[in-house]
Amino acid sequence: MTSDVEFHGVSKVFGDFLAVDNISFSIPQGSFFSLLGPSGCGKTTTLRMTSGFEWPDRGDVLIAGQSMQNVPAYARPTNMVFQRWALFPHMTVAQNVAFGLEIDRRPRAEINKRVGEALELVGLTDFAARKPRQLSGGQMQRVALARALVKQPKVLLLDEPLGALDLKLRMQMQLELKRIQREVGTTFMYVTHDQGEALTMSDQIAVMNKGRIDQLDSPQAIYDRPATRFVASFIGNANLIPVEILESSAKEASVAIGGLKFTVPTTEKLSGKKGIVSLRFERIRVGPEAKKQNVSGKATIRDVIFSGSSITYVVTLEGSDTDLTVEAPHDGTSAPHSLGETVHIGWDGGAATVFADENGNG
Amino acid sequence: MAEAAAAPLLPAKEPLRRRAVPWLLLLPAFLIMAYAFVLPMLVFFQYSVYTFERGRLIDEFSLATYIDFLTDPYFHTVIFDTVKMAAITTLCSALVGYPLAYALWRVNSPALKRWLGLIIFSPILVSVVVRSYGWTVLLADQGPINWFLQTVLAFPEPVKLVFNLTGVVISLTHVFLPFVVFPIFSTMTRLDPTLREASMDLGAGWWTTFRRITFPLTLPGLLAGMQICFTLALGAFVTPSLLGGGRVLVLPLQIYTATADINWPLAAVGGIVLLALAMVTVLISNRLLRYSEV
Repeated sequence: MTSDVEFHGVSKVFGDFLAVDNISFSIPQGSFFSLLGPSGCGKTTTLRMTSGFEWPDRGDVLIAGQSMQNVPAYARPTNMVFQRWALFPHMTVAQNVAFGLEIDRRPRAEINKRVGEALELVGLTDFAARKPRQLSGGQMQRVALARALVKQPKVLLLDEPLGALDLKLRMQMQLELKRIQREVGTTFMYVTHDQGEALTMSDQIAVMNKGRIDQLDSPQAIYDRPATRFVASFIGNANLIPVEILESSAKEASVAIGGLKFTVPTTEKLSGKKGIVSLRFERIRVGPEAKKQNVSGKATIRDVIFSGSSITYVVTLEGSDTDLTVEAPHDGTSAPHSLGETVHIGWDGGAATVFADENGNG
Repeated sequence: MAEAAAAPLLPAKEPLRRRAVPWLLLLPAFLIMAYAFVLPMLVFFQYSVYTFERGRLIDEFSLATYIDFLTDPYFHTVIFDTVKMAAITTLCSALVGYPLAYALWRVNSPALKRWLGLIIFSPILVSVVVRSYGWTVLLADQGPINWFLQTVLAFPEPVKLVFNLTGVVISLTHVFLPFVVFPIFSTMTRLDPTLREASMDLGAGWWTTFRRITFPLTLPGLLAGMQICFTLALGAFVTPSLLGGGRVLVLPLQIYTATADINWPLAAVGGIVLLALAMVTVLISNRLLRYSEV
């Protein structure tokens, strides 16, 4: 498979702030690729270096195999959907979408045809004559998408395009974006700080932290096997439990929480004595079924939070001061456990991951 | 219950004291406007319907002064020259002001921005008389500009830059610059910077982006600036009288002459014509503004 975007050892500094720190990756043609991370992690800078609004201070960016070292933004085969959409307020929807094609001096008949097709793709055919200020947020978002896609870019760049929409609309647009991506087959490079968005839509996710890529993998792999403690805490809800490391190989380690000993996968051989185990809320079982798991113990319920489809318990593990958060599905057939009750809890040791404790003496 | 349902629910009235606050705040401005604008305007209208004959004011209702003014070819020329001077000044101000506003907007260094702002603002800080005499010196036949033209560019004789329309236009363009630059600059700063990025992203270079995005979106600022400039130029008195050398006979000078002759009716009619010109300008530019706004 050929790559549409390749970064080779790219770094970018703003003053003395290292925004992007020697990153390399490639995006396969036709895939949905997300850059995920907290604000200030360098994901937007990475996107802007792809579009040509920023220039790498070191390294090279290739688009469709071509080095972009001397190619300005207006000559790149990329188009961008901006965070606040950046629609031209003095032009109608149709004029906004036609703008890029007019710049390319396409014949009028072709422009009209392609604008019509693009508006149809995003379901805005009836809004062609409106001005942006007469549109809702979701509609403006679609216009921005049509305006960028109509130019048939090699890579479509999306800079948190759903950030300004409300939750319901955001969910709906996620599915719509994925449908459009499948339909047009263009490579999408998507920047977001919302892990849900990235997990829902992406073929591949690069999790960024402090200018570096911590993990680049499929959504499932990132969720199930976080490569670093940052990834584990940033994506999904995980208990980060301090443990004692008894023994470690490159693949797994045996650890202890108080008297509870078990084996967990690891990403590297841990040399220190202290570690952090990441264990997702929903992987922990409560009640009778917990005894069937390969790691199990007793715990006291400290807090019960009911949230409809699930119940969240905060429990204290017997024999240690460790507090764990447990998310149990609520099927409506059994009553929730009550405060102060002592229950069995358990999990599959293989579902957890252990990292060296960066703050301790590991 | 029945009684309560019968009475329609009305919003509770705000206490009188709170309702009075906006009116109290308006009062000083209102008093000044009434005494210094509305009252004189009424007197103005009153005098405009009197006539002046053989050095005497005749206070009987008559439209004779209006008819004389509007049918006299001399005053036609005066009105035409006034509008011409204002139009040329406005055009020059726009041509100098727009690029200046653009530069002020694009300059990154805050220190440079401050200095540029001060330079643009400086003409207002200097008294109009001092500024006019300054221009007389600079633009004179023996002045530095003519020295440059004659010795460096080998002009055979000095170019007449002062005591004519040229001098008046140069000086007025200089004074009105801030009134043109700042409205344009403020529309520029309110422009979403990602619009220019979006345009470039869609393949447009600098010029196309300027022509199709930046300029149309800053046009309201330019029109507002030009409107201010034109109306100020219509009423300019000191500059045409000091730098016009008696050749720039604009309406405000005629009005001054009429008051000096104690021909109050003629001065009043001239003033009303000037007011009408300004109002027509405002009307036209408001129409254009509405059309140019998004």
